[in-house]
Amino acid sequence: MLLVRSALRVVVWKRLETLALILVTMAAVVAPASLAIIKSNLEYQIYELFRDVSGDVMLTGRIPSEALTALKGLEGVGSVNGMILTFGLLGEERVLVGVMGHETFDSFVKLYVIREGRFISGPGEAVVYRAMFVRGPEEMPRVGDEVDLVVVTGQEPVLLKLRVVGLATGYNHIGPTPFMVVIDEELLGRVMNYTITAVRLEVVGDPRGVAGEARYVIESLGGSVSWHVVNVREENPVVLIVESAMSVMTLPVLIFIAMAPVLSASLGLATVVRDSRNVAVMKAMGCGLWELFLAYTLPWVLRAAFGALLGFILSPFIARWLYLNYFVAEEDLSRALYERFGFNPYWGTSAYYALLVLGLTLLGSLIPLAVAYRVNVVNVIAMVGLHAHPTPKAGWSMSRLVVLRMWIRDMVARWWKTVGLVVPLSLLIGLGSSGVMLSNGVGEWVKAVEDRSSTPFDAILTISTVESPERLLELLDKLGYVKRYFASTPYSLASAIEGLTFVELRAPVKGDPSVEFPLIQGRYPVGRGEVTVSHGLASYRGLRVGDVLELRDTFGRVHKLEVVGITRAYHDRGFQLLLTQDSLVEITGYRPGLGRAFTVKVAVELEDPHRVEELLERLKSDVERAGPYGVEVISRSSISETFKAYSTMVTSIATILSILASVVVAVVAASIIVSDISARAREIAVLSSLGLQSRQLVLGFAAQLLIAVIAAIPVAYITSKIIAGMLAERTVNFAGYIEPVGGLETIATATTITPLLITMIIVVLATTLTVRRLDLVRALSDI
Amino acid sequence: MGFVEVRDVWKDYVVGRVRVTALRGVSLDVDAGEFLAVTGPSGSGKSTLIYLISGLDVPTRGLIRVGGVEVSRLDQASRASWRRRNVGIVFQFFHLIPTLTALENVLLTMELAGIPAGKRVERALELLEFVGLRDKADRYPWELSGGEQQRVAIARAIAHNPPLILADEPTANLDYENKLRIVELLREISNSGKTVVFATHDVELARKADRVIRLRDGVVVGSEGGGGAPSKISP
Repeated sequence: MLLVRSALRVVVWKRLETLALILVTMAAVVAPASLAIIKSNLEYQIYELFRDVSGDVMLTGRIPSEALTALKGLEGVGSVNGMILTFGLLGEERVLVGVMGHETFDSFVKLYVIREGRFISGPGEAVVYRAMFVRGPEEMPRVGDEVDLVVVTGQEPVLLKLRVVGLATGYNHIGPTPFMVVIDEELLGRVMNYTITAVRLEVVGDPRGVAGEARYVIESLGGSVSWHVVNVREENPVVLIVESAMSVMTLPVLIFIAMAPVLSASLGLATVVRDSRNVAVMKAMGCGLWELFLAYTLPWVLRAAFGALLGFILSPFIARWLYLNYFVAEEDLSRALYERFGFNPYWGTSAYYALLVLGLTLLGSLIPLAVAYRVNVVNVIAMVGLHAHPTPKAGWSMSRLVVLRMWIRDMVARWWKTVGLVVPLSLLIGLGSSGVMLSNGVGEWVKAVEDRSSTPFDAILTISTVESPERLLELLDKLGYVKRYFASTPYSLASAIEGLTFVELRAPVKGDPSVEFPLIQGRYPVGRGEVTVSHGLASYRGLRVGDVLELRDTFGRVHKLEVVGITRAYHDRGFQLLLTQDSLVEITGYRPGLGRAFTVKVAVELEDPHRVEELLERLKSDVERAGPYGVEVISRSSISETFKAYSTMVTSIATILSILASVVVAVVAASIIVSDISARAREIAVLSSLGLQSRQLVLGFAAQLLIAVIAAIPVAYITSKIIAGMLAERTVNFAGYIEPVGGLETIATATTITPLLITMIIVVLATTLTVRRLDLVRALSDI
Repeated sequence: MGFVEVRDVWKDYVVGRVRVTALRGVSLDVDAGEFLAVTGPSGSGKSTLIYLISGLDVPTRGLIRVGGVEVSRLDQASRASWRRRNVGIVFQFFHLIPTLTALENVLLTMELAGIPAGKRVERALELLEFVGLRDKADRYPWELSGGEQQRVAIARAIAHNPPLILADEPTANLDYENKLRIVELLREISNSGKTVVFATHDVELARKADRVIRLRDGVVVGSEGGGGAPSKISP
């Protein structure tokens, strides 16, 4: 009990050490826990958002109306809602159109944000939705406008005269195209006759099993299914994107966690060495491991426990504050999600990180305990003068640079201090350097896309049509300014490869695949079960020509594809897989275009590379005039700009995180050095008595810090490779696989050096203050 | 006026919430080349006086002048700079730098004092010879006995040839034989023309000095001539 009391006194008396560890432990809990809490909330909300629009299962295709009754009878099906999901033209603007009845609308349109006007109350009214991440034209109808909407139905286009009663954001689709909701039972029956193009099921139990049965029911009633989605929380593609995005932030802050045990170990060791005579006396009195634990580990555990407790309590509140101020911000949809679902504090997550940090800090403080346990009682008690630590005798015969040697040898003798400095510094440098490596990786994308010889296409057109694409392709063949093109049908497959939200399957329709996918190795697929993969996917999954790639479809079936080639995709977002039309049909189960509009992607190489903008305008216009085609054009330059923005974003994130980390590292490093100064007060006083000035002492400690930085560089290089690799894996779902590029030179960049300088300045200031406040006389008098 | 002048020096310390007066109006003069012993019981202010003369600390009130320099008026950096050329200090607990060998501890003072590098090793070895430790020049402090460490500390204190040597209880942790040897060394240093002031609570050793000052509760309570005899050896 006396030793517990003693430990408590140590905590109170050694205020600097107490404050440093409490702050670092608290930061180590708050940083990852608050992000994890935000992540869990976003995942839940996005899952619910998806569920709002798609239910647990959504199927699209030619679906007979009697199928609705049949689906209601399926085991596990809670509710069934049908609607038309198609596209139309609003003037010249291509829009997605959801046509549904009142009952359907009332049952599942729950999440909406009206920015202006009001919600729909009857037929002939429409609300126009602007989705998240808008990329489309800014010109939108205004409230009160009478609009003509041409709905593409698969038969004759239908003209609807509607009055816009509200403008909204959010709703439940994510994409660049504006979306219109039309409530019109009559339209449902009149336009589609006996068909319904989308059916939404709410399911109790296994949605995957119900999806398979629903498909069987629809097909057995003469209908067909062209696409379906199963909304399972763990496999929800957008949830995976959120997880991936949040991981990018969570990974670096995990470095914070490492700081707590490093600090407790380093300061604990300094204490044990400083108090080695006390340790020896305790051992001489018969104290064992438990008593030493109480004396030399318990104070650190108590400090860490207090910091972890504060972190545990604060994390949910900080998470909520960050969420409201930085994640929700002005996003109306996020606000709506927050208002509908609230913010779950996830105390369990907070507790998990608090216990993790506490456990690691306890482990860290066991190192000084081991050293204390090994103290040689006789040697230590017999020792007189300054504390001695074995040091190498290297260079002892040199007469010069004795002061420098003294500082260097001190770093060897007090290795725990050196390790305590090197570890956080290497993590700090490694973090900045990894950001530079990733930024360089995106830079390679920019180079590739800007180099016409490496990526021949000038633009990628996404063309939607309700008819067979042959007429479109004939048109392309006739256009003199188009040198080459490659047309393919895309199909996005969610969660087909473990860890990836989507892969984009591409089956050639016509043209030269090398326009979009130049071969690096192997050949293009010619038979069923063959595939070429992008270079990024090959790097990410370690695939080579001849390997087998397994894809899982949304029904859970596994398809084995032989890799016959590796292509230089201009980027790897979506991981394009090129396979034959037969393979595509086999994997998806659908013939392209059946029951829905065709989507054809066309990569175009123009004859005149100097008139790209002009020719692309002409191309868009020519395609749109040729038929009811919706055309989106992404030019090479816009892709390049997007990649440059990625590069800036990666560098900015790395810089911000590094600067945040630099403050934590500065606290750790300053605590270690300040504690070292306190422990060596007498030695410093002796040096001062020999004539060493305060600034020379500070310079000595600064030199030690600089040596620690130099020693940290090799470790930092390895760390940066590891961090960059991990970040690349985690960004894969929202930016594609960015292969880290760069070597040691990435350490000498502003992103790396700035936080390092911040750390060094803070540490030197703390050192100066401590040295100046040192009471030399007391240090010399204190026996 | 002596080489060292101490005039009406007061020194207060604040320990926790308590103010302790360590010296109460101490005045004394030490002549150049004099070997002075300061004695007194524990807590009488001996160490405080040594620290004030060395410029490690400044008096609360009063004046300290050494070789014409008013040390008590210098700022911290100037005192350190002055100290590295003019003072050699020997401590009770030796306080050799643990990461430097005996030779390097001696070299350190010379390096700080800016003595040309070419002359340092030769002089350091001579000094170690003087204290009888040339054969242990490459030993670390913990590889030396207490007496040996203190002798290295003395060599370190005189390595840069300062005119003033201050020793704070230099014999307190040593056996009788080593005590005598250390005092003999200090005497020899004094004989070479340097001023030596050493604090000790050992009255018998103090008598080996030229003069003895007695302190009690921070006040000089007596001064008498010592019985020390000059030595022939010179460092």
